[in-house]
Amino acid sequence: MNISIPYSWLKEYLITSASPEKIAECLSLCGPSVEKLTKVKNDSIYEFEVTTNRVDMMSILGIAREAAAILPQFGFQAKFRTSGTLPEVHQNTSFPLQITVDPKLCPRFTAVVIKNVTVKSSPVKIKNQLEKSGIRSLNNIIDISNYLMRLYGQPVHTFDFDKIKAKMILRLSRPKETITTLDNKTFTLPGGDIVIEGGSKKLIDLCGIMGGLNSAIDDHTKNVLLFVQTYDPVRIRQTSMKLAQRTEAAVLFEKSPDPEQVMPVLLQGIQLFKLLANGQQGSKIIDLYPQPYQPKTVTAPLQLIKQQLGVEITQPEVDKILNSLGFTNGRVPSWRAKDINIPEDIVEEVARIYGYHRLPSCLMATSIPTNYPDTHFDLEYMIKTWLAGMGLTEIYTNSLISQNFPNQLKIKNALSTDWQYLRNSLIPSHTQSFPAFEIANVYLPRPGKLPEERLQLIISGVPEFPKLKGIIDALSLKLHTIIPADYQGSAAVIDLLPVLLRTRRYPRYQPISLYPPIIEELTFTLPKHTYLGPVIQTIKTIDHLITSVHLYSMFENNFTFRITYQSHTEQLSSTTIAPIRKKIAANLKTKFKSDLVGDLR
Amino acid sequence: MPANLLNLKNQALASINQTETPADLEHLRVAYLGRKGEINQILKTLASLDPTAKVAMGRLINDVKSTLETSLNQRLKELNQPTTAWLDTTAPGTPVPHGHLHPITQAIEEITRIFEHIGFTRVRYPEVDWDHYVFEALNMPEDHPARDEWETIFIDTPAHPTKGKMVLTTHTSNGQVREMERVKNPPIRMLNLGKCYRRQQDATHTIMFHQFEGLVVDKGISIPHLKGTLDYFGQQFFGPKIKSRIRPFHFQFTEPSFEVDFTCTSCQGKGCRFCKSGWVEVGGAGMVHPNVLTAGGIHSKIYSGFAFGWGVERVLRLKPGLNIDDIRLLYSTNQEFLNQF
Repeated sequence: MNISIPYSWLKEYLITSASPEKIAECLSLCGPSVEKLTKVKNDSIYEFEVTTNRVDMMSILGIAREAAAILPQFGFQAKFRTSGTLPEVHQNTSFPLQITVDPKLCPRFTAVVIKNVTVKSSPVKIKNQLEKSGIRSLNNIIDISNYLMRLYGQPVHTFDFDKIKAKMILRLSRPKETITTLDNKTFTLPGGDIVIEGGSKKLIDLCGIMGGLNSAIDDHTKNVLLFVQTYDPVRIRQTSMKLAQRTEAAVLFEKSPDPEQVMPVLLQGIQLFKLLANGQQGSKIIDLYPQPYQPKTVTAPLQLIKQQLGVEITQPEVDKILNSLGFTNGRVPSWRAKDINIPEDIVEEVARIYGYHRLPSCLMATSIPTNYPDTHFDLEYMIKTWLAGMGLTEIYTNSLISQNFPNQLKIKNALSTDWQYLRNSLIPSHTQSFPAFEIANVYLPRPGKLPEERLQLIISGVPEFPKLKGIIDALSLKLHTIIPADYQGSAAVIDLLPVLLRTRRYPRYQPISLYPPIIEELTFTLPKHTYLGPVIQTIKTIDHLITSVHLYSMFENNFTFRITYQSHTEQLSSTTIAPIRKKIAANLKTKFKSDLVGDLR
Repeated sequence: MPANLLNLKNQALASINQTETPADLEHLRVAYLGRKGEINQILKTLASLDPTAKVAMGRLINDVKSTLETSLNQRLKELNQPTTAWLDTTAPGTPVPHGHLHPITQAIEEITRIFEHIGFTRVRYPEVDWDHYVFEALNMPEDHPARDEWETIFIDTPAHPTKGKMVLTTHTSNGQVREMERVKNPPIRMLNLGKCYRRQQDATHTIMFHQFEGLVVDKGISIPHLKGTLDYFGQQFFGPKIKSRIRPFHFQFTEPSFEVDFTCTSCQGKGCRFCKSGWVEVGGAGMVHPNVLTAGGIHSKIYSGFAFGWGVERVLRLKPGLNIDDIRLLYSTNQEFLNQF
């Protein structure tokens, strides 16, 4: 979450010698990160990135308190000034509304009536403060709630008291109830949303998200109900997500703002109404808080802090840091109660204020694991290098595709129709016209289980089949194993894992023969559509003296094979291989009905 | 006979050297090495020799044969060369096939090698995984606002009774608990590198991207160890003068949590238009949250650890000279782009 805060407003609560730039630098290193620091006329505006666990810092006071803890570590004087004394209130009048609240939905419910307000525009100072904080100034009543929210980080709502009609029931919505919010949008509620029903049986508030239009402040408003609560954060989040209404109030409420801060906000509100709208307290303050905050204690042993930080820090130093953040004797301040639960949370507080930049840096000297998984990343890389060496370009294509093929997983919340299915084949992704390859998973659904992620290699964009086959053949030679490929059009697909598991890093070495080989060519006429693979395989296996068989040339139905004979024990001659030659001719004749061209000597 | 053979060899070599045309050379090849050539004639006489002499003679004949072959090829090369001694080294060479390894592959390889040097082992974990490993076991129950950071893509399939919904992994952190379950007893030094998916697509985000995740678990692992690892990686990957720094952040699965910056590679940390402050943000890191150790079956009072997870595309873009303005190009088939690598 980001929040804009003007330097001038921050200075009202932070007394320091540090410049706006230094504040930004120090806070970024030890606390909330300053995304931007913009200079404006006579002022600077910070944009802070506040992490979701620190809703307390979504406020002027929260940032001022944090800065007062951080700046002294950098040698700057810094003091946090609290929001000042709060007004005296009277509790002798009655509360004119009949209220029903479920404390599970609303752990703390406070409200007070402000009577005889004058609706007008706010003073220039307030307007400026709000606008520099990125909030539009509307009228003094709305501005008071926004001012309080920015100052405390606690959302505040104001109703036109006379429109509520004497009754408020805070409850869960029923499915299909409707409400029109302040921004004139009408929502049909999913049910289970925290809402308030007014005296006329209509919903008057979509709690924690936005007020109802039917109870809104207008130019004629005389009496106001000032309304400060905390809500069940999970419900607020669910409603806000379902209705896609991510208002600032919702973003704050779903992160559990400090319930202890509710009353100071309400009191400050009463004062502001007096000051800015001539409003008077018109009822006693109602405060339904059946389970008040119980202070909790979380500590970290000094040993743990020293070990995690790797520095010799003393207990007094640790205590000083924690005190500056509002921790006293292990007691967690109420505004940090949600976030601080375990000793490691304390370690973090000490470490970041001490300064991560002051901690040493060293590699671990612990033992190196030896139980490796069965993976073959280096082989994959070698295959890629070879293929690139053969002139192919490696591409990475998206696993998400647009086409609905049978047996594919479907995306429930697709970002676009281009990415609706998880591919079970690499082929549809390879539509490019140049020779390319990719190693990637395809995803094969399995009922009740995660899909099988099958690692495949695709070689694509090679329309001439012999070339495509040549690449696979070369890869087979490099990997010393036969690679079965599935040929589809100008592409070949290989299931890679079995190949990786089977492959030999080194060949079985064959001793070099002392005797020269005899190399000769034999030409056969093969019937049409004879598969050459089995023919070559047949020749190869006819005799152990045949060391290799290659297709040398072909013309119409005539195929010339170059056959190499070699022995490790003797010099072969034309006479010694004559019987083998005969056997080749005979086998090819019976098996493939093929005729030798020419005569055997 | 050896003398005979020697004569033959010398005579042949002399003829080869005197040849002036490739055609004449081919005649010589047939005359000496052809099926009915001189060498084969001598081979025929082998039959009459006793076995020991046969072996010796066979070897000699082979030597002569290969000498002649070399000499023939050498002379052919000479004859085919331009007659003048002038050689234009500026003329283009004959093109040989040269393909391209994808920059992501190159980055992955480099990252893997860097971490292997300090004892990390690369692993592979599911790219489609249960909510349990992606969020729940990482201390992020359902409806937790922290989940907003991850633009999760869900698979349209029934949820697992105990492990929850099926999702595309939004980060490689799903490997953390999976690795703890695989290894059981520390030490752990894992590098999980794989594809991740988030629901966003623009010039700096692609719906599919790559992350690498480091996880170290052992007795006494501390923040300085994380800093040491970051410095080591930064100097290896970006350059020897690069420094790292960590700043406070929040992740549910680490405590404390950090954001990691490296000194800008284009200005060496002085501050420039690209980085403004002299630092560039690379990603998140932190000390493993005790709840995550517990979820992985590791005793959190005995062991501690750190983890980090960053985008491969992100670190690639920060490489000096590789300021790719639109990372969507990485997942295109644009040859103008691919052919540069």
